[in-house]
Amino acid sequence: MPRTFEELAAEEMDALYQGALFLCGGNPRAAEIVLVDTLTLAFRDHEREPDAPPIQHWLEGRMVRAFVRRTASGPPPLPPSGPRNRPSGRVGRIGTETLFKAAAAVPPWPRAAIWLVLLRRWGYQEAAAVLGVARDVLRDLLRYRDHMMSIVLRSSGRRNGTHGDAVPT
Amino acid sequence: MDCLEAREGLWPPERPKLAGDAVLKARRHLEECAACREFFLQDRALLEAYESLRGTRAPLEVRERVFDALAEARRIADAPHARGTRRGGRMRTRLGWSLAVAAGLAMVALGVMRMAGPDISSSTDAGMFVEDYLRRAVGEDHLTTSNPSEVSRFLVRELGMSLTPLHVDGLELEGVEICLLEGRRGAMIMYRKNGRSVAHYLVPKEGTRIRLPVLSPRLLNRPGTSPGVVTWASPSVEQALVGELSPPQLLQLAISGSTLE
Repeated sequence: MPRTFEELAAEEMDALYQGALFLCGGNPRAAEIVLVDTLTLAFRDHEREPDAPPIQHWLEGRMVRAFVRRTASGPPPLPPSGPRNRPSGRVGRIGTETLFKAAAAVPPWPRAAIWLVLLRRWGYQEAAAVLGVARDVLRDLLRYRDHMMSIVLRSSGRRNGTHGDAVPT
Repeated sequence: MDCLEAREGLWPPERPKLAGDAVLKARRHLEECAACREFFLQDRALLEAYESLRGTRAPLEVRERVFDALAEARRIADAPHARGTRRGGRMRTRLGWSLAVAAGLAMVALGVMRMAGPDISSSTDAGMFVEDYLRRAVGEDHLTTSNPSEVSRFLVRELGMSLTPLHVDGLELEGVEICLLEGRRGAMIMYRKNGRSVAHYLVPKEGTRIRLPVLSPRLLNRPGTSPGVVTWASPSVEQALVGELSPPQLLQLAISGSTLE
């Protein structure tokens, strides 16, 4: 039996909300706005292409587009400037608060790229396509991951490693 | 091969790959490059942090706003052919239900006000279901249908949950509408059995555990003063049957028609 968009959305709602929380740096109100944007835009697209499978992947793509549309002003930023400082450190368990804080410190475009590729395991090519950027640009966006990781490591450093977030070496 | 190429070539690291030239080169690079090995260790930690969010559920009010927005989007999309059936059905059913329950309202209201005895708990208070049953003169969104699939779709759309109407021989489905019980949004499915009206309430409530159907103890103490009420719960949903049948008949309906999944 064909399923309505609402039924599909209900099944994917929690996973999308988790993604929206990351994209919004842990801000629940902003995550709600992104989620509503995502699903209403996706509803219209789904009406036009009801056979777009698989739905989870498809909705994730809609979500980064909704997020970038709402939060990013202008084109993707240039890669991080200055010499590349590789964030070095042995990482233990990273708490969600630390993850959100690190995400919030990265501009919207690279945050969307990091979510798709590093956290949702999209391939580079399809992630570049859904973000509407060239593959080289996607690689540049992903370089912000080092900045995010530095914040994770610094955050754990301030805690002297006693809270188990990450352990600098 | 540099670090960026190697990482891209092995991405995502947990997915098996055909060992072509590029993949072999990337693997060799990884063996020799401490930075890339550290990158993948850090990547694992980031992924685990994200996956720890898996238990986070979209709060009920967020789900409501999403489904309100979707309902609005669908109303706009369906506007040319939806207007007649939904509005017309609403009016027809409202009138029918008003007439059907009107005779009992005064007696029932009186009975509710006189009810005495300790509450079971706020979440299983049968009185709240009765009160909303009596407030049906005004309502929220509404669908008139005898098709269980349409009701299920309505419930998914409006409440964000997969719920099914009761299925019992002789119980005729008439429609469904949204209700508000102590600030919680739920649904009331309307049936008719042997010419008498019966309402099935479903109120999503996080953390609710399975309870088997029971007659309201308050009503057992005062038989004949108000409609019968049977309450039970499936995971995350408080449920009740309220109607013009006898309490044992309602209990039988709840037991034979409901699932606790």
